[in-house]
Amino acid sequence: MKVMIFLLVILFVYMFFTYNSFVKKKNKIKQAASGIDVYLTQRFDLIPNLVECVKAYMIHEKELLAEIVKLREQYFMNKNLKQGEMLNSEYNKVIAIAESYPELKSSEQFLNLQKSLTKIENQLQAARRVYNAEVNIYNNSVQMFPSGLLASFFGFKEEEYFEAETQGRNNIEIKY
Amino acid sequence: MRGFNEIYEQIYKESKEELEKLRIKQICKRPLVILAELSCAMLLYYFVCLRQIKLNIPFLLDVFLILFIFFLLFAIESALNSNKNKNYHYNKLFKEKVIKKIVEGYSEKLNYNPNVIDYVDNQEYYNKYVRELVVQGLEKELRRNLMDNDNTKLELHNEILSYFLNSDYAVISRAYSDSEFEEKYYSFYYEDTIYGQLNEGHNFTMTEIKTEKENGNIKGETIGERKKFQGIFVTNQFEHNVNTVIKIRDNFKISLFNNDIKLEMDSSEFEEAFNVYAENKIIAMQLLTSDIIQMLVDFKNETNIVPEITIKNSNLYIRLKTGDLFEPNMFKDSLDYSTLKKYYDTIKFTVELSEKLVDSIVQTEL
Repeated sequence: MKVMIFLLVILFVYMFFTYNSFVKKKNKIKQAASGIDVYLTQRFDLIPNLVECVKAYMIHEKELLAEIVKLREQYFMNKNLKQGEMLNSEYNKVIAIAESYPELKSSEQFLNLQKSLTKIENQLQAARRVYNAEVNIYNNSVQMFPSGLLASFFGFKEEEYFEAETQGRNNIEIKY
Repeated sequence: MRGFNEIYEQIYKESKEELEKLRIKQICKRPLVILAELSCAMLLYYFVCLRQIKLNIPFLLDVFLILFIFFLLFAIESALNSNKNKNYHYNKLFKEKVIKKIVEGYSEKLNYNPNVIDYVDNQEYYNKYVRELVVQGLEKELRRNLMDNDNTKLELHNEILSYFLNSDYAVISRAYSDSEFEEKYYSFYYEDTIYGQLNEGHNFTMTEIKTEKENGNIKGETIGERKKFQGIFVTNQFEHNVNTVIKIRDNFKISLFNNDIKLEMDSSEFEEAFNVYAENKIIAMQLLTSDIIQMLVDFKNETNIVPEITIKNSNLYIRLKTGDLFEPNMFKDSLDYSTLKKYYDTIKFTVELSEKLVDSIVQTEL
């Protein structure tokens, strides 16, 4: 009887620490996600500046410019990271297309904008790596034995990694 | 930059004969000394015995007396030579002809200084008192103590203090304290400095160092010194200021009292061997690119040495626990290929790692 009680106590203590560990890891993922959000927001705050800078030159890309303005509004309403990444991918398309206009490319305003965007993009990449590292640790705990058993008991599920959008991986079509 | 084989061939042609001659001479010297001492002991004994020839001295007592006189001479000779490096000349030649050629052959931008410390008077004073105070940053207390004590020795003390405050020793030991690789150590020694300016125009210094901690007895008294760390210490000073502290340490060392924030990296192989502590996770991730991480992992897998790194403001510090590195082995071929290759590879690794990290810092807009 005493042995049973002792084993139950150990089990309870183990469950206690494991549950807290899951919560801690999940919060770290949220923290990393908010880091990505901060940099995405900084980047998207420059969209109006970009549109203002390029609209006079990129007459044929009006639809694309309108699309990114619309996606920006949606992102700020929902704060959905996946949507944010889609917008980021469209954003990169605009930059790539803008670089094919020589007059625009040499404009000082555009160059300054590009510099700021590159800096934020580097920080964004670092934030994504931090996020993926935290997700990796959390997913290991959820999948491995015996913590995996408790994960399903408490309702903790695997999280998805941050992957580059498929659109972003395709070659960008430049219209002359 | 020249390849190792090319440098090795050049050194072999120029210096092999001279080095081997000196090495053999040094090896033979010791047995000759011992033979001379034994002969002196026997001569002394028989000279004394001639006077005592009528006494019936047993054979075993004969042997005992010879050995006693021999060990007495041996002890006197060892005590007289205790402060001198018996292989001093061979070491000096080896460093001039071999190490210097490897460094200069690897890169024209690098210079080499063996920093062989001449043994001076008051060695005991240096080791026990001044070094500890200078390293711990307590020079003012030293000055105050000196003024209170014997004024006649003040001039000598000031000379010693000046050496430890203004010399290369002071610069390197302060850099080591700043690097936060070790919390406390009792003594600090350095030699074999390689220095120069690398690609980004930053100052590079690579030194072989040794730190010791004191051995205490139950009463808390210091009874000796024990080696704490021996290996390579690299400092890089550059113009950019990262305004943060990033530390990469051996995963094996776990400190319960470490308050630094641990950063999980996105490489499991890297996480198995290294721990990264960073005040700012984003800057750390930006600087530690995948090729730098791979370089550290590859080095660890090849040599089983974990490079430890501290990036602090405008300084980059690297530490490798290589043991005693640029010292020749008296009982091995003076130009042993694998030994010299090890020296070359260590220099190559530290220079390349320094360049990559500083390049990463310069390119990242912080």
